[in-house]
Amino acid sequence: MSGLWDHEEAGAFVETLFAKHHGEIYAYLLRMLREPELAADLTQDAFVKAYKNYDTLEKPENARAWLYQIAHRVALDEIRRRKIIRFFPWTGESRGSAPSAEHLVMDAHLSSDMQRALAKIPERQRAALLMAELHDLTGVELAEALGVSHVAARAILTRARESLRQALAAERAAEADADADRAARHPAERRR
Amino acid sequence: MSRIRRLRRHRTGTRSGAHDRARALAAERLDGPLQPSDVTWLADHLAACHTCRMVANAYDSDRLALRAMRDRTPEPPRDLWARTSAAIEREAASQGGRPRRNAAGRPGPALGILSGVAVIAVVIGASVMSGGWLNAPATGPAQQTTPPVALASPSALPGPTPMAVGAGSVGWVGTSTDGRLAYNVAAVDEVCPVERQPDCAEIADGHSRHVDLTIRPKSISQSPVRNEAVVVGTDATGSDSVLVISLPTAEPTEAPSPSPSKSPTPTPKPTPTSTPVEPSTEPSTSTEPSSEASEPPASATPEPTARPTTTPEPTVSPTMTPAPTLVANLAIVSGVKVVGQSASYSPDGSWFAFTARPSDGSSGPDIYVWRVGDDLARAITDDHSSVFGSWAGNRLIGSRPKVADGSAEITASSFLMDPATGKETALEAPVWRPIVDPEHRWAVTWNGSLRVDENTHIAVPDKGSLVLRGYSRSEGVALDGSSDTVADGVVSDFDVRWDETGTWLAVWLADATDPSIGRLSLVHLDPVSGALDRPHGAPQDVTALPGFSIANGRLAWATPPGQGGEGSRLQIVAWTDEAVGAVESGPITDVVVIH
Repeated sequence: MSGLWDHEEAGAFVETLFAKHHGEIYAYLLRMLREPELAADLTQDAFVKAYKNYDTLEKPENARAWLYQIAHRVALDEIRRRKIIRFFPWTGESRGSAPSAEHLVMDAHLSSDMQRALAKIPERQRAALLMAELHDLTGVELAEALGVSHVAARAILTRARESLRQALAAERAAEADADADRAARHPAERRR
Repeated sequence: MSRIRRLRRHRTGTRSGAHDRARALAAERLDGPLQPSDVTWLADHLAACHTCRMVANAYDSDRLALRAMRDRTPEPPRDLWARTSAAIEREAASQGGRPRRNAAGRPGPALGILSGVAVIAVVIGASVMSGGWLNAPATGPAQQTTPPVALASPSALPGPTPMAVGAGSVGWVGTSTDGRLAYNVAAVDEVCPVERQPDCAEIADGHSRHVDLTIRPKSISQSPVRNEAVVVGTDATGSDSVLVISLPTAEPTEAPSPSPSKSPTPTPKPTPTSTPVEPSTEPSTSTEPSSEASEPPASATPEPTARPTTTPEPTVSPTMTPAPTLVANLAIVSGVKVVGQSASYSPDGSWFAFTARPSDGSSGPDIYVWRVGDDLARAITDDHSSVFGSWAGNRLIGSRPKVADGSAEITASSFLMDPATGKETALEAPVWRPIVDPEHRWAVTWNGSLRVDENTHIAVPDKGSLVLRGYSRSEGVALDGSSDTVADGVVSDFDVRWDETGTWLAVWLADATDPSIGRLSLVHLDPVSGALDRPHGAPQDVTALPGFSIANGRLAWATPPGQGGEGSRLQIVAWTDEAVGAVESGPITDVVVIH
């Protein structure tokens, strides 16, 4: 942190940024990490880092991508720190509180083969897919958020789509196997 | 040439290299246009390669499945800004700086960003000048992820400059901090622009009164002409009762209407069901005029919770002011299960209609009507399958399922009915629960097949869609013509209400797995063309409890209870022809919006 920038200006800027983007940043972090409370903590961290690194924002028009870059790094740091290598199941539970009705509905919707497949692909690919498909980052914004060139970002996305396809196929095959196992077990149980 | 393309071309000489290239291109085309030569090559390859074609199709379908996750956007915690701003302040303090705070303590924008703020102001202003928010383009899904509702202000700080929306109020009933039900009215004359919601102050209720009811309210309908409301609620046995309650006048200090309670209130049987109904012991057995009742009314049955009955209770809720207690005056039906959310007064306020079935489930639903002033509501159908849809003037519209001979499919039929005589006039269009606009020009209705729930004997939508159809006094719901889809997909239950102009409607769709919550949307209708649009800033698929109100440019609803036992929040979106804004309440337990 340089400490040379105007604290007031940075504070006001981050406040404006928060008003516009905190919802999507929270959603992104929740989709990456699958823990509501953790996502909230990391959203807070991301905006504090935005405040601390205000002087690294070169163009205000790039603020959204810059914010995603910060959030992405916060997420990867947390994943590395906690050695999270896959999504946690979305149980709807946050620490010390009961799941909301909305959460329960969301759980039912999201506890899908897509969620499990996303959990199995590399986190940078997962991040790229989430940002491109769910958060509508443009190619340039995605590159900025991932901290790579435009071409590299596109290559990551291409690989991510193939990874997701394979992971989904594996999930569906596993589901089919499980169904077949259940079907095979039931006659045996009935005979017993 | 990019490194990827160079690598790709190196591999095209082999068969596997060709397949790899095809798959890479099939994925890459989702993120941007390909070179024309690549487009041609890929098309040729996919035409000849079944496996690669399957992979390309999988990329497309996986993308759609992934994008379907947009439909469920998580909402951040409401205290997130409080936490974040505190952390920023700590960070600033540790660095020897401090974000500027104005006199009230709110960080204020510095000169360096005033241009950005000005841009926001100009955008809002430009929107107003250019024809308003109705014409504003819808934002992309990512921008729509935050519903246009207020977030709780993290501190008692002055919010953004509010926008005036004209006089109007919203009423609700909820549990106050002393555990008693309270009736509240809040004047909502100003709201915050959608763009500045995080700083928006919460609404404050103005006219709070204790309400004594032995039922837990589920739905409250206010008379359009009297200070009176009908409350549908559930008693301790799990049965529903429908009560009539006098509401106070608008002045907060004014005593409630001194309408003496009936003593004791006779409880009707839900004729013509065969279920015997025990006489109820409603709290409306009070012998005291409600205007004198700063204490609970005398009751034939002890209250489930012990409360002093002789000493005026000091209000402990900061939102409560000492005021006489409201009591139910009349139980017009009990021992039933009220079905759906369609219960409503007729436009002239002389009738109230609803759908109910016996609480023991022995038969299906019938339409009940209550003539204001009568002691009891009465069932006006006896087929045990009819449901109330809406009012068309002073005739009600009902619907019942129909099974054609030799067919397994259940279709809908609807009819107009005079509530006084029960005389039916069949509507030709085979639609279900049409909800007619106040001008009798349009109706939103279910167009499709039905299924009958085995447990409740109630017909519910099966396959079809919720559509907008033309309506006329002479012909009823149009048989065909252009039908604009209001909602399709899985619609298990719905509640549609028009505003008084007939140009706005709110649509609530029950969740398929948990009908106690649903998704609410505000839709605008061009009354001439019948075109529906969902303007930027209008709530779309926001999570809402059943029951909402729409009138006077305001849509009010309650969110589901939050995590950690936090109550629901009352959310209000208000609009003019030129702008839209929102406010919300703090947490409220057991909130029911009065409509």
